[in-house]
Amino acid sequence: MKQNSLKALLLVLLLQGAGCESVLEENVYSELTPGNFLNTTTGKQAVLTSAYGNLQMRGHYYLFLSGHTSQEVWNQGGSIEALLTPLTNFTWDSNHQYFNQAWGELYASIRDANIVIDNTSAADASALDKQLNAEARFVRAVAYNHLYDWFGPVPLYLTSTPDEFRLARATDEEMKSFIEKELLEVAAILPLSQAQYGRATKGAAMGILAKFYLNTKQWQKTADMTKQIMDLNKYSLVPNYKNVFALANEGNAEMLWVIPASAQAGHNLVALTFPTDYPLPQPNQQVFAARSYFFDNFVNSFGPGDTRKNLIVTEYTNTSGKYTKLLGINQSLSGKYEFDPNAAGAVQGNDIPVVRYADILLARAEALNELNGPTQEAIDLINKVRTRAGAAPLTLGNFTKETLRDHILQEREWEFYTEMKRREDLIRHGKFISNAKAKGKNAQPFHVLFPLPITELNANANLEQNTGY
Amino acid sequence: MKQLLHRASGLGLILTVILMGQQPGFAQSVAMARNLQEVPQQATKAASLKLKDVLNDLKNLYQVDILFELKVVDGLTAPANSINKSQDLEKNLERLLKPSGLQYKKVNKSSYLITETRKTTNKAEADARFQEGTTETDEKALGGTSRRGVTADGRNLNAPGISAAVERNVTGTVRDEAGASLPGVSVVLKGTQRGTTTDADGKFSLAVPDNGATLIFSFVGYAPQEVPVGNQSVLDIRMQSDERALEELVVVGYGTQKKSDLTGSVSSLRDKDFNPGANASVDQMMLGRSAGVQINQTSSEPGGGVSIRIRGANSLNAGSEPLYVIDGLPIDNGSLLSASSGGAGTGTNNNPRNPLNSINPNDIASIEILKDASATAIYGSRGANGVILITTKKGNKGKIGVNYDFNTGIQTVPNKLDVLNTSQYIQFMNDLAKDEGKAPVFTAADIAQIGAGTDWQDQVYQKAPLNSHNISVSGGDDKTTFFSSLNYFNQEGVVKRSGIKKYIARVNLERKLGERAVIGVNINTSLVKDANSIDGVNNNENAGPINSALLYDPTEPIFAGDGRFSQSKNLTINNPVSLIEGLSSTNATNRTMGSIFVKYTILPGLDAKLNFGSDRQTSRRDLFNSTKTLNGLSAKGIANIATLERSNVLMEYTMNYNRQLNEKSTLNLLGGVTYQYFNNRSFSGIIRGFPSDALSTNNLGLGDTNLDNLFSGQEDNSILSYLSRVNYTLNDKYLFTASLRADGSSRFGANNKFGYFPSVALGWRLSEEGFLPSFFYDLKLRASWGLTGNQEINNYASLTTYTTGATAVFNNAVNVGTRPSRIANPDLKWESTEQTNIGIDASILQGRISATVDYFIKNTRDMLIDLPLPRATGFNSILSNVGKMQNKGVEVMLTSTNVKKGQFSWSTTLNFAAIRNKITDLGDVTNIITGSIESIGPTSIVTVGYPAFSYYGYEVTGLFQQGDNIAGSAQPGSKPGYPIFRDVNGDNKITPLDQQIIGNPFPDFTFGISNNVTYKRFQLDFFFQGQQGADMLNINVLESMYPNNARRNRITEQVLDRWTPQNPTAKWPSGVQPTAYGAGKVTTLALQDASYIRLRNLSVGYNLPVEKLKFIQSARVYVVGQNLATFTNYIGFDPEANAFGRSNVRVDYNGYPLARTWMLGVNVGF
Repeated sequence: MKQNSLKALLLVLLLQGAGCESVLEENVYSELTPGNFLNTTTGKQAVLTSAYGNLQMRGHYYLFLSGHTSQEVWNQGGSIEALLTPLTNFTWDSNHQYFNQAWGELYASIRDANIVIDNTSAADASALDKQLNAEARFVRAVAYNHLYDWFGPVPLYLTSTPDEFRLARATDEEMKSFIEKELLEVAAILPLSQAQYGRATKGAAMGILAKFYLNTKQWQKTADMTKQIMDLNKYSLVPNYKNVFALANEGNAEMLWVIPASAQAGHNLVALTFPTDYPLPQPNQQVFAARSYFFDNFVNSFGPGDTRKNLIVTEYTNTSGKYTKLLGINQSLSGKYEFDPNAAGAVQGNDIPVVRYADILLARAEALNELNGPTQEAIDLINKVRTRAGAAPLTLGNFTKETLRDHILQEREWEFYTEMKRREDLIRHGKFISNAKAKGKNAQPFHVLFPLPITELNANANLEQNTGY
Repeated sequence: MKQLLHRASGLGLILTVILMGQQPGFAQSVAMARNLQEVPQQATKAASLKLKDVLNDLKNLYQVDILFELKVVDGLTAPANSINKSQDLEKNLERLLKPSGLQYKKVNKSSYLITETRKTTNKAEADARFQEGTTETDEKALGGTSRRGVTADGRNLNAPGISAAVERNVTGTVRDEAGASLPGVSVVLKGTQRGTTTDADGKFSLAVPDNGATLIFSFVGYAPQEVPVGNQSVLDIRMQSDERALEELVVVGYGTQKKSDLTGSVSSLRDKDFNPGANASVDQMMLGRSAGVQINQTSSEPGGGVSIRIRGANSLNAGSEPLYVIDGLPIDNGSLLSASSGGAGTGTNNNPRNPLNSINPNDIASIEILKDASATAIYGSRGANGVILITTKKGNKGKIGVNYDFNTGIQTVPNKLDVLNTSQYIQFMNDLAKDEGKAPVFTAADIAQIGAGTDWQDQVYQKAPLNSHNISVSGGDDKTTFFSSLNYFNQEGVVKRSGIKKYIARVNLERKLGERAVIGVNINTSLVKDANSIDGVNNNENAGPINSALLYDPTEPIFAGDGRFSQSKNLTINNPVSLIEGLSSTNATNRTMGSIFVKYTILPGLDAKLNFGSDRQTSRRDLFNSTKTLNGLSAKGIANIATLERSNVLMEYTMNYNRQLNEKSTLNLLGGVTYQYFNNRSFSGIIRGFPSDALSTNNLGLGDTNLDNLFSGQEDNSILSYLSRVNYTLNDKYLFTASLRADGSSRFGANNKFGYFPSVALGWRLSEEGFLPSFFYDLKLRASWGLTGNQEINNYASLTTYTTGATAVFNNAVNVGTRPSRIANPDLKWESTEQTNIGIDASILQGRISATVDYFIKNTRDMLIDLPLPRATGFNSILSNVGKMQNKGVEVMLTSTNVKKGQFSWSTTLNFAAIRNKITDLGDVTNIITGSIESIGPTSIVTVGYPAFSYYGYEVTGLFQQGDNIAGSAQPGSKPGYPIFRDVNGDNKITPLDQQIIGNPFPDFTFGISNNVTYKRFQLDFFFQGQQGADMLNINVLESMYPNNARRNRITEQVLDRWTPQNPTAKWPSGVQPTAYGAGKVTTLALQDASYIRLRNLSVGYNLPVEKLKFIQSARVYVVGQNLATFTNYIGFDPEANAFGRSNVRVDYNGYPLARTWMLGVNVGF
C-alpha cells in the first residue's frame, strides 16, 4: 500500500513537472521599469538629468573639433595624437571616433529629451511638467544645433517611439526652422534663472538662438536677438578677463550657457595641454603626454596692454629645474583654464563657456556691421570687450565694412581662444578652408562639414553622406 | 559454437542501459526472439525454468553482472517463481545455486561469478575443453577486449601443439588488484590450445614445456596478461582491471550508454588522455586532446580565462561557451570578476578568472564532450555550443585506497618579446631625430650617463615556482562507497605578483537504502585566491606592467635619486616596476557545488531519480592603486572592493525505463522535468584620496568620501525544462535514438518563452553483419539530426528598463541621470542551431588501429544579434533574432598501437579538425563592424559570405619610395617610407570605404598528436598541438608601429627593418611622424599568421618496484615539461590569447607570456 502510493507519487511528479510557467517571469531588481517610473516627477526629472548630462559634452571631441581644424592650436604626443593629426591635416574620415562620439552623445541627449517631452506634453500638464517639457525641448534644440554645426542637416527624431528607426536627413530649411522655432518657443517659457546653475534659462535659449542666427548669417535676427538679451539686464561683462574663467567665479554674470564641469565629472582639457614635466601646483593633478600649442604669430598678435595674452603660458621652468621658452618655438600653452585644486587626476572641473556676454556683444557688432557697415554702436560694443581686457579702444573712422569684419574675426580670436569658437567663426567668414590651405593643408570646400559616422551610414540605408566624403 | 562464458551484464547503480549476454549469429537471435514470444506458453507448461534464464532475470532485477560458464549451468533448471524479490540478490543466488552444486563469488561491486562447488577444477576435463577448440569467450561481453587478448594471441586452431619437449608443472594463484583471489580466470599456454581455469581460490595448475613458455591470463573485465614462466614453478599473478573495458561505458546526458551503442558524436576522455602534470584547471587537462574542441587560454596567466569552442563559434552575440555538467549538475560557467573593470585608475581587463578553477582536476574520472545534436539536444536551449560532462571519481567496495600526489615545478618565460635594448634604442632615437630633421635625443654625455639602462621585461618577469599536493581516500563496503580528496595548488605567475592558490575538498558518497533505493551526495568546496595580472585593453597610464614593460624607455632607471620609483618625464606610462609594486588586484572566491540524489527502483528496469543540486560562489576582489603609480598618486590612492555572488539551484526529477526485449535488443526510455534558478548579486565600491597607502583596501572609510563611486546590482533568471529520450537497440546492429526537450527560459520575450529541441539519430553496426570482411574489427555508421538552442544572452534583454544614465553637473555637483537601457523586444526568442552529423567508427587489425571520422553541418538561425540601429535613435542596437550562420567541418580521431612487443609499446593518437565558419544571412543589415580597442577603432566585420568577425582594415601594398608620384597618389600628403594603402574603390582617396576583409580569425585546421611509449617501468608521453591558417591581429605590433609617443620603445624587427633611403626594400614604414601615415588604422602590417605547432607536454614516468612492500600499492615518479617549444612565425607571446576574453572577436593585446614549465612529481598509492 505504502509502496504503491510512493510509486504513484513518483509518476505524478514526472507528469506534473516541478513548476508552472509563472516561474519564468522576470524579476527586475536593479533597474527601473518604465511604467510607474515615468509617471513621477522624480522619474521625468532623472531622465531629463541624463539628457542634460549627454549635452554636457566633456569629451575630447567637443574640445578639439574646433581648435585643431581651425589651426588655432597644433598638437604633439599622446595616444590622441592619432586622432588629432587627421583633424589638423584635413585627413579626417568617416571612421574618426570623435564624429561617432559627437553623434552618439548628442542623439542620446535627444533620446532622453524626447522621453521627457512625450511624458510631459499632456494638455493638462502641471506647471512643473510644463517647465520640464520646456527644458527638454531646449536640450533637444541645442543638441540639434550642435549636430547642424558639425554635420549639416541631420535626421530629426522628435519622439521617443518613432515608427521608423531609419530616418532620412531633414532639409536645410527644416533643420533651421526647427531649431529657431523650438528655441523661440522655449525662451518664452523658461525662467530667467534657475535654482540649479547649469539648467536651461530664458537667456540660455536666447543666447544659443542668437549664435545660431549669427552662424547662419541671419543678421537682422542676430541684431534683434542680441538686443533682447542685452535688454534682459541680467548679463554683463566680468570686470577682469581672467575672472571670467576662474574656478572661484563660476556662474558669473557673463555666462549665458556653459558646459558645466566638476572635478568628479569634468574634462581633460588642461591635462591634454601641458607637458609632462610642467610643475603641477598639486600632486593630485595629472597631465598626459599630449600637448596643444599656440603658434607664435598668434601669441605675438595681441596689442600692447591686452591682458587676454596674460593667460597664455609662454615659458616655464620644468620639474628638473630646466627653463624652457615656449614662445619662439610655437609651443605656447593656453592657461585660460587654471589647474583645479580639486582635480582627481587628469579630470578637472573648469566650466567651459558656450555663450557668454562678450560673444553676444561681438555678435551684435558683427550683425550691425553686416547690416549697416561700421557704426558707432558696433564700435562701442567691440570696445566694451576690448577695454575690459585693457586693450586700446577702436575708433570708428579707421574701419570700412570689410576691415571691421576682419577686425571682428581677429577680435574674436583674441577673446575666445580655447573656447571652441574658431571653426564656426572662420566658416562664417569664409576663411576656414583658405586658412588651412595657408598652413599647407589639403583642405577642400567640402571640409566645412564633417562626415557622418560610417557606422551610422551602415545602420541607416536612408542616410546620405556629406558630399566629398 | 558453444559459449564457455556467458555474460549477463547489467550496469550498476547509475547505469541505465542493460546489456544482455548473447550468442553470436543473426539466426540465433531471431530464434531467441521467437522463444520470448513463447514464454507464456512455456510458463504454463513447465514448472521449472532454465537456470540461465533465471540468472538473467536476476541480473535484470538487481542490475549486476552475473558471469558463468555456459557449460556449468547447461541443462540445469530452477523452479518457476524461484526469485523472491523481497530478498536481496545474494540470498536469491544462494537458494538457486545450492541444489545444483554451484556457488557464487562476488567479484566486484556489481559482478558475481558462478562456479561449481568442487574445490578444484578437474584439470584433465578443463584441458580437454580447451583442446576441443571451444574456448572462445564471448567477445561482446568482453567489450572487444578479448580480441586483443587471449583469443587473438593465444588461440590459433591451426597452430601446432607443443610436441615432445620436456614438460613440468606450474602452479599459482591469480588475484585481483585488491589482492582477493580470482576464480574462473583462463590460463592458456601461448601458441597452443592448452589451458585451464583457476579454481574457486584462484589457484591453477598447468603443465608447460620447459623451454621458455609464456602463459596468458585473461578474465572478463581485466586486462589480459602474458607472463613468461622462465624457471619459476609457482606464479603469483595480479590482474589489473581493463581500462578499455571500463571505457566502454560513456556518460551521456542524464545517463550512461555503452560506447558501441552510441549514435551521437561524443569524445570521451579518460585518465590516460589528460594532459599530464599540474593542471590548474579542468580545461587544461583536455586542451588539444579532442578533435573539434578548440580550447584557447585567452590569458596564459595562472588561473586565467579560457574560451572553448566546440565545433566552431556558434553565435555572434549570445555566448559561444559550452555547457558544463558536473556529476549531473549544470554549473554556472558565467564570468567571474576580472582583474579590473576599469574605474580604479586601471584599465579594463576582459579576461575574467576561469570559473573552472574551483574544480580539482585530480578528482576527475572522465570528461565526455558532447558534440552533435543527438548528444546535446537533451540539453535543449543550452546545448548549441556543445556540452562537457565531467564525472568525478567514486569509491569502490573493498579495501580503502589512499593516493597521494605531489609535484613541484618552475616556470620561465621562454622568449621575451624582442624590443629594442638600451643601445639599440639610443641609436634609433638619434636616427629618427635625424630623419625628422631634429637634434639628437641623446648626446654622448647622456649615453655615458645612461650606461646599461634597464631591461624592463626582466624587471617584471620572474622564474615562478608552482607546487601542488593532492590526497584522496576512497573505499566502501556492501552498502556504502565513498571518495574524498583534498587539493592544495599554488602557482606563481611568470609576471611578478601574479598567481593562484587553491584549496579544494570533495566528498562523494553513496549509500544503499534497502535493496531498491540509493542515496548519494557529491560535494565540492573550494577557496581560490588569485593575484591578478592587471594588463587589460587600455594603454598609457591605465596599462599594466606587461604593456608598460614593452613600451618603457630602456634608458630610464628603476629608481629616482630619492629612492622612489622614477617616472619618466617623456612618457605617460607607469614605470613597470612601480605597477608591480604599487598596484595590486587580488580575488578570493569561495565556491561550493554539490548535489544530493535519491534513486528508487520502482520495478525492475524502472527507476526514478530525484536530484537536488546547487552551485554557490562568493567572490571578492580587492584592488588598490597606491601613490607609487601615476594614477594612484594623483588620486592619493584608489581602493576598490568588488563582490560577486552567483548562485543557482537545480531541482530535477527523471524516470528511466530499461527493457531487455531479447538478448540483443534493448529499449531505454527517459523522461524528466528539471528546473534551475540562477541569481547574481554584485557590489563595487571605489574610493580615492587616502592619507596613506598603508592600509590598502582594509579601511575604505579613510578615503575622501567626496570621491567615491558605488555600484550594486541583482539579477535572476530561470529555466524550466521537460525532457524525454528513447534509445532502441535492435539485434545489436541497428541503433535508434530520439530525444525531445522543451525549455522555457525567463530571458526571452513574453511571446516566446518556450522552445522545443528535438533530435533523432541512427546507428548501424556493420561489423555485426556477416558480410563484412573480418579485416574490420569494428565498423559503425552513425547519422544524426537535431535542433539545439542558445539562451546565453543577458537577463532582461527583452524588456525596456531604466538604468544609470548620463551625469549632469548642476551647481557644481554631480547629478546622476536615468536612461532607458535598451529597446524592448517582446518577440525575442531562441537562437536555434540545426545540426546534421554523419560519422564512422572503425577499427582494423584487431583494434590496433581505430578511427572516428565525423562530418557535420551546423546551421544557426534566428541568431541573437545586437542588430545595429542608427545611433540617432538613441540606441546602438537592438537584440534581435536575425540572420544565419554556418559551421561545417570534419573531425578525425585516429588511434594506433604502433608497436607492442614484450615490455615495449608505442601508441599514437591523432586528432584533427577542419571547421569552416560562414555568415549566410544577416537580414536587412549589410554588415556589422565591431571590436573597437583603445584608439584603434573597430577591428572586425560580420558580413554575409565570410567568417564571423573577420579582420577588417586596410591593405598595405608597399611603402612609398623616393621618386614616386606621391602628390598624384591617393595619399597626397605622404612621404617616402609611408605605407601605401590599397585604394579599393579606386576613387583616388583613402577613405573608410577602402577597408576590406584582411584576415580570418579561424584556423583552417587544428590538430593534436600524442605519443605514448612504455618500456618496462618507464613511460614516455609527448604531445604536440597546433593550428594552421588562422590570422591574428596584434595590437602590440600596431602600437609599436604607431607609438603614442615617439619616446616609447619599439619591437626590434620594426626598427631594424624600417624604411630609410638606404633601406628601400624595408618591410616596415619609416617611423617618421607615424601619426601622419595612418595611426588608428587596422592594417595588414599588424595582421599576423597565427599558425603554430607546440610541444605542449612531455612527460617521463617511472613506476618504482614496490610490489614487495606491504604498505605501498604503487609508486611513480615523473617529470613533466609543458610548452617546451613553439614553432611559429608569430610575433608575440601566444597566438591563442585574446584581449577580448571569451568573445568571438579576437585580438592579441598585452597577452600574458606563456610559461615554459618543468615539474617533478611523485604519486604514491597506499
